[in-house]
Amino acid sequence: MNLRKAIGCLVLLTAALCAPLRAAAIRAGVARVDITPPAGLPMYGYFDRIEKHQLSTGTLDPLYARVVVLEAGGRRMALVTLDLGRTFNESWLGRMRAAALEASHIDVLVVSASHTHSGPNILDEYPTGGPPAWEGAVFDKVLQATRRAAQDLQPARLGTAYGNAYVGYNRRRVNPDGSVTMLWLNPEKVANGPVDTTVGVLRIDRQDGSPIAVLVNYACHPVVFGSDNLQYSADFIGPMAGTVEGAFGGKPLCLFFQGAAGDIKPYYGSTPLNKGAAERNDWTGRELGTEAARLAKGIETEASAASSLDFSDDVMAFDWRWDPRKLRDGLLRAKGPLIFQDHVGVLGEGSMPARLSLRVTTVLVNRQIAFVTMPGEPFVEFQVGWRNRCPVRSCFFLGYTNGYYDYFPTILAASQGGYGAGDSDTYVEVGAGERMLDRALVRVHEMLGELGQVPIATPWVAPPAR
Amino acid sequence: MPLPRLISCLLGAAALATGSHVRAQALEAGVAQVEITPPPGFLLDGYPDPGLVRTATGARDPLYARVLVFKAGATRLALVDLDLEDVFSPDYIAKLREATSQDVSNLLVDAIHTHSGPPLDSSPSSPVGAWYAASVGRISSAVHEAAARTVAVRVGVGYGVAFIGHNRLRIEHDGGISWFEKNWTGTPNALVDPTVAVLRIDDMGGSPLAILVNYACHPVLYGPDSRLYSADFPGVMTAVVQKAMGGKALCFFLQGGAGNINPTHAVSSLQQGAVEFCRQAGTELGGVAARVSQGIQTSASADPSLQVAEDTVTLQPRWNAQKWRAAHPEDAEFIASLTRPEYKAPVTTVLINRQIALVALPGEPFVEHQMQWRARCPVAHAFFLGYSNAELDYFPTIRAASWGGYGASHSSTWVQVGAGEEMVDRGLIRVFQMLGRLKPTPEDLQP
Repeated sequence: MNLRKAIGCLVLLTAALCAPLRAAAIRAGVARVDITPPAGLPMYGYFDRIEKHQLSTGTLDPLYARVVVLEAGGRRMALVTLDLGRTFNESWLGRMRAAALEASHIDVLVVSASHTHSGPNILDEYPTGGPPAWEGAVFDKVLQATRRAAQDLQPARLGTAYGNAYVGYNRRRVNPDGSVTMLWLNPEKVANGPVDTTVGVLRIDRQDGSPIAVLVNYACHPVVFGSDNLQYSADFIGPMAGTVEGAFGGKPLCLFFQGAAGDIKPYYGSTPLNKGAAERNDWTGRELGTEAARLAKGIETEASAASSLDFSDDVMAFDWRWDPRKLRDGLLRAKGPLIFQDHVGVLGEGSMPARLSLRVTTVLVNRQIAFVTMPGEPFVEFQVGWRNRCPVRSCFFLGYTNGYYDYFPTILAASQGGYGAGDSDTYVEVGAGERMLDRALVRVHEMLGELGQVPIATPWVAPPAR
Repeated sequence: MPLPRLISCLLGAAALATGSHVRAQALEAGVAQVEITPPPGFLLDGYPDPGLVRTATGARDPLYARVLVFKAGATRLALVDLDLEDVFSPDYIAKLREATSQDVSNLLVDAIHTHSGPPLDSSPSSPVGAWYAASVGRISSAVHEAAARTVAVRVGVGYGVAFIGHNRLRIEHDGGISWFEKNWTGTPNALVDPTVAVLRIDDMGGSPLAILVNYACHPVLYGPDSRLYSADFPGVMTAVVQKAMGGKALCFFLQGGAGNINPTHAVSSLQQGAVEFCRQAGTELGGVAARVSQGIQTSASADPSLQVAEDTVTLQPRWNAQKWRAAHPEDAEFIASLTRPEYKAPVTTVLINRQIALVALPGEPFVEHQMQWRARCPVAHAFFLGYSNAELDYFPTIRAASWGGYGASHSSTWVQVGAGEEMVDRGLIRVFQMLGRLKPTPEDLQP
């Protein structure tokens, strides 16, 4: 870690550990910008398209970056959600953090990807040198959108609700003998768990009660379109957002925050175009969107008398799960160098880090609404565990956020194996997800003032039995 | 590192690395016991004694070190079960390792956590230090003795329940935590783990060699007015079990996650009847353990194995030492003695015959960790040992730390919140590795 980064971390940590700053009212602003890239780029998510050197041919529906800026107690957070397969590399994110801080006084930046598999490919490092021009354009657009949202800040009221939608299943089927079979296709909607059907909704209103934004949190891979699709699409997120926005007359901005979808696929996943992929994508989005809209409409937002915004940015170091040199050599042997354009990009070029540094961001709004982020594809059990254990009433779980390090299976899932659990698509040490979750829980308790920095008593006034 | 242990470690590492286990001709075990009761005159540990008046005048019952040596192939594990409040200091553990290195490849030292034992202060220059040094010598001889007399064994596990303890951190209606030391009326109070887990080890003829009883409860029946060394209720319990087994088996007490569990008649004065309360608690637990032991049908594994992993988990300090000193300048010396840049926590995981797992944590884990371990451990039988291999005080759960109270938000817990969860996870990962369910190579890149 260089000095600048170390100082940055210390500053962030100090901010998180300080007593919460409170202000009379929380303020919110939103913005949206089209980030659809030009045709002709490699696409994200399906290795066969990369192997065949297939490039995008156009756009089914536009890809957006959506931004919500929240301000309370003199602190600002920007929640950015991208209709993309993953977030950009650490350099992009670092520059964005610095630029958003400078331009819009954003203290904590949360950049999350929806994980659509019909977006452009994004790499940690590009074999041709620098990133494509499109990435630079997105940088400018997101920065400008964040600035617009910050300029548009207005007093706001918040409210949350939970419901259920049944559009996904667990694609790892654990057999009676303990082995795992991947259930890649499931159009018959055979129930297979664990699945978290919870739809979490955060509604942000103006003071007059008119909606500014509806945030939807749900765990499901946006992979209704399969690898035969060569056109950009937000997948089911597009019709979901359209359904929610339509239900409110187009007034609020709907933002989708992908949850812990590492093992969750939509029932109609990988539907070929000639088998009705577009219709099934609409069905999936509408199912989720209808439930999200129903929930959003029922929310009675409240203006907090003492609004607050607390956050913590932890960078946690983890070991590799596999010997990284053997992993790189094995991947090269088995799949060739193109594999690093699909996953394990961190091994593809340049120096091999001895350990992996993963950012976990924890945010607490008004001491009632908590967010945790993980930089990759956490298995759904983490989202369930977060909601069960988080000490505040409203808990949102964001995967695919602030970095991308592929899959985080649970310890149990890692032992069972299967895609994302026992193969080369996961390479951070087993137990990483559990530790990240525990860290976030500790942070929330700290923000609530439940974990002080000094013990409550000295031993001489202790109860007698040690 | 002595050659035998080096070889064993390499074999163990290779076994873990390949996900396979070392197959042996037979699982063998041997036991030994040595008395380590200190001489009178030491200050008894376990209760605040600012006037330094709690001097031991003798022994109510003897304190022992019990040794079980398990052997399978090249792996030889010595489990040393001490009738003490805590295990020896790192220096003495290191000496014991060195002294036993020719006999065993791995060492697991646990303490029953009696509060009627000698002090932890074991500086070599003190009389207590001399006693510690002599004890280490006696125990290493016992390890040698146990290792020399190992025989092929059959093992079996059984479970019962005993209700001699309660959770001493009571959650009040307002969410606050109160200290619930005694519970004479037996008022139900979550969370308690009443599970009595028993591992019985027989020779191949079916004669019992050792009974390992795993249960979570502070041995604090005797209060600060007692001036006699005692193993507290575990002493009674082991005697009950040994008698029930015809005096043939040596009974071990493996203290569990007792960080927040007291016996219902905790810290009774002698006048209140501490002796009788201790007898009752030990008899009740011993009765259950004996009944369970007698019902266990031991068997010899067709594929005997013994796998051991010794990990060190690095933990951060929980408290801000600077702020702590500023808040309590009168405690500067105490604070300095506790606060370090980081703490090294030994975690030992053992898997016997691929069916029986033990995880051993240092310090005083809260009972929820024990329950989590049993719920998540992938083998049929999961034993949880606290107070093992190092003295690092309390490990509350994250939730308990946020609630507060003694051992949860008090100076008696020093390490980062979440440490217990991380150590349990480490143990789980090790068991999965030992079972070959976490392979060293991705499944899509298998040769």
